[in-house]
Amino acid sequence: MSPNTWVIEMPTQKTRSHPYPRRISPYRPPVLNRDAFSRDAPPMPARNHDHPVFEDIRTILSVLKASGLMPIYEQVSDYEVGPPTKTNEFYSFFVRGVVHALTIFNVYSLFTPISAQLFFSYRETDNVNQWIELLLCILTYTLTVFVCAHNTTSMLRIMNEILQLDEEVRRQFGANLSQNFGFLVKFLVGITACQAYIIVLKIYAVQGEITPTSYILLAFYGIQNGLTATYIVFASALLRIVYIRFHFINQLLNGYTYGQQHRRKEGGARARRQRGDVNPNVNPALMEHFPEDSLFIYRMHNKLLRIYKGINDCCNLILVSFLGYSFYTVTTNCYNLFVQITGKGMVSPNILQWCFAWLCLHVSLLALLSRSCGLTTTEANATSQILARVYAKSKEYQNIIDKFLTKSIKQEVQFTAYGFFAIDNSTLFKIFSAVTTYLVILIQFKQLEDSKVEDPVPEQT
Amino acid sequence: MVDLVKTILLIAYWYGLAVGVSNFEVDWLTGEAIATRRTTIYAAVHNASLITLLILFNLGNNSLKSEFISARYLHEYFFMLMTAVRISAVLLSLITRWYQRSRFIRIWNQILALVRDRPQVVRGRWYRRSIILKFVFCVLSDSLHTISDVSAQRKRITADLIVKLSLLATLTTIFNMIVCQYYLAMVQVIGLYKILLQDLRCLVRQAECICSIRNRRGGVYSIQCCSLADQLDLIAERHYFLKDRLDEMSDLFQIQSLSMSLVYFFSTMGSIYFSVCSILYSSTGFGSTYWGLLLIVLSTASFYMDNWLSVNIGFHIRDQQDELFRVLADRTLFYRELDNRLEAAFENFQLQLASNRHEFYVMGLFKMERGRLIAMLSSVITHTMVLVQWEIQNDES
Repeated sequence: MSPNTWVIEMPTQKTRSHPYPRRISPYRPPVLNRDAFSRDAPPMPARNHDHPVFEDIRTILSVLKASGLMPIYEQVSDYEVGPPTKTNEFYSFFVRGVVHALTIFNVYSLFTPISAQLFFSYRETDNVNQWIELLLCILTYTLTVFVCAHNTTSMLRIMNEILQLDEEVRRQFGANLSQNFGFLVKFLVGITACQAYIIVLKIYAVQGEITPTSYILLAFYGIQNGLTATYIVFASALLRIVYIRFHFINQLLNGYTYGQQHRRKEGGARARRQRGDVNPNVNPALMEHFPEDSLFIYRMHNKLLRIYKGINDCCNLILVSFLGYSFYTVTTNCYNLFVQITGKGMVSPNILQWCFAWLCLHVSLLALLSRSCGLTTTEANATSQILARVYAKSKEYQNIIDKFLTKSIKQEVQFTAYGFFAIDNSTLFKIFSAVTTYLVILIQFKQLEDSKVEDPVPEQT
Repeated sequence: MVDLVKTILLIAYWYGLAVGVSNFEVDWLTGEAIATRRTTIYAAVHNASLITLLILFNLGNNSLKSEFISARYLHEYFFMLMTAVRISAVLLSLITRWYQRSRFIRIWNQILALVRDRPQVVRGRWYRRSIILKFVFCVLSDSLHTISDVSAQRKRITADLIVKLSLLATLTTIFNMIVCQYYLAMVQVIGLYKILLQDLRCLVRQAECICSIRNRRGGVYSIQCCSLADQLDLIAERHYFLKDRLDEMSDLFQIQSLSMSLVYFFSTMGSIYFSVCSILYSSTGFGSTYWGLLLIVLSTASFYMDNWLSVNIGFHIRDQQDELFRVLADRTLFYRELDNRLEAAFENFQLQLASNRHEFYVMGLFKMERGRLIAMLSSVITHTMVLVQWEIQNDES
């Protein structure tokens, strides 16, 4: 999960037969040989397609593809994906149809006694809470499916844009931007485990024989929750991908800052001899390359911003409903925990575990989402700050810098939930403060109910 | 073929006249607004009689005043508060329309002149779609509301009640009409913004083409740059003009916006609270039949859709301005520097945009933005919870 775990894959020996990449990545010592790479040089030889695009997030993509949330795209080349074939499209369509049919059945059974077995009541208010929670879950998942189906083309466009960007980076700097996305698999396993555990708990809690319909409903409930959570993890992964690109260009720019340039001038040969005491991550770049590089950086920054906005537009509605749902779930589970712990009767371990499982799942998802958003937003906003520190030795350079700085006046990049609120590190805190407020009100309600139940008794006797 | 949008505008205009919201007349051929004597007299008589009727009904017996004296429960007080807020909002907006009449007429004419300069606004798809959408939802929400009101009371209809109901319906309609006018004005401005954006995009593309001219010695290059700079200056001026109109418009509609937010706030809170109350007391009334329930759900849905449309249009302006900035940002991608004058023009426009962002403060009290909506929603939920808690606590039965 640490932000700097990404790998730069240098061109392999095979590709060395081609001219060296022109510019050097900021993450490695410069190679002396930097020549003879003309702009229209033939692209890298097309490798075999055994190397799929988006390999880092392959697992989560396959889950989403199987559930019809992502199109099963075709890989045209190493840096392009094409629209899905007719069969695959039909498959996604079919899966979505089944999901909607199941949803309708689910809603129908919620309003009829079929599902009465599953949703027994602990108390009056709790029952209503559970109902609302279920409805919110159904709503969130249905919305996710609808929005995903609607955004198929824009999702593919975003992926293509990312791939194009990668290709450009590779051509210019010979750097392969990839990160260790191990946390995705961990999250997937975690989500599955949590959901399975919750279902098992629910099965144990039900009294009497369980009907097949109940099993179907339970399984669907688990799938709904799991897939919504998976989609959120996927969105975080996309944000992480964007973050790496932003970080890359920021590092690139960092080589031109005043401090770095100063250092380079100060100890030209000395520093080269004892590479150890210079910051290994950042290599001061030659100022002569700045105009060219700045153009590349600006273009990349613009494209990245567009991708960022595209991702935001794609998951706007999903994020709003997910945040609402998870806020509600966290609140009700905290409340249930409180009721269980302070209740005078027996503490039921079943309900305790159930609450803990839900809390773990949602809190970790919220933390992941807000952290990814926060990281990317900070990185995107850092570019202009780094640029302001670039050593501009002539008017021409100063003009180049000013252009970008003027552009970014009052243009703070934000990842928002439909513009209602920005999602960043502070969101987590805001959600928890809201949860606390509502918890207090709910507890007050419960005390009120208890006192209502207790009061009439002495009157009657 | 009858133009649908034009028909809708005509209907809206005549309806506005009929319910006494518009106190000036529009020459339909030129579109110019003038304060003629007959409309002034009609609207004045209409508004005066409305206000007198309201006062009469509120001070007579079996009315708001007597209800206030006899009210015992919280929900009764709350209902009266809601009614009072609604009535005062409508009255306030009506009164401001009188003393700001000349400003209204001026701004109407100014915006119309802008639109007349660029008739492609009216032909835009977005323009037509938003007007039709608003019309459909406005009519739906208004008529469904009236139907549900009448059918709820249909068992005990008297002449007195009919007058009361029609008075209430008129009030609601007047409020809706005011909101509609605001919406229409906003739609025109956004249409103008969209055309501005198109022109700017075109210009940036041209500038990019000029960038690739290798030979910069001859006059062609500098002439092209200068002509582009002139065009950019013109666009900047147009934007300034538009923004000026927009600022004046938001200044004019301040009181309307305030009453809009107050009414939406209180009616949302009230509807949640009353539905909880009716569940609590399980009063089998109008909502107990399936048709009644369907009617209530439909009218609520269309009411909120209508609200959403009118609130969202204000946020849309912000989006347009952000888009303007984004288009200008493409300038950073030109790979060679352009002529000094063009660069300066670009810089000036960017700075102008950055320093004068459109921000709409309602009466200087709060800024209208999307985030405010969530704040309002959370406030509504919290307060409803407090109200319900109070209701449960003091429940005598």
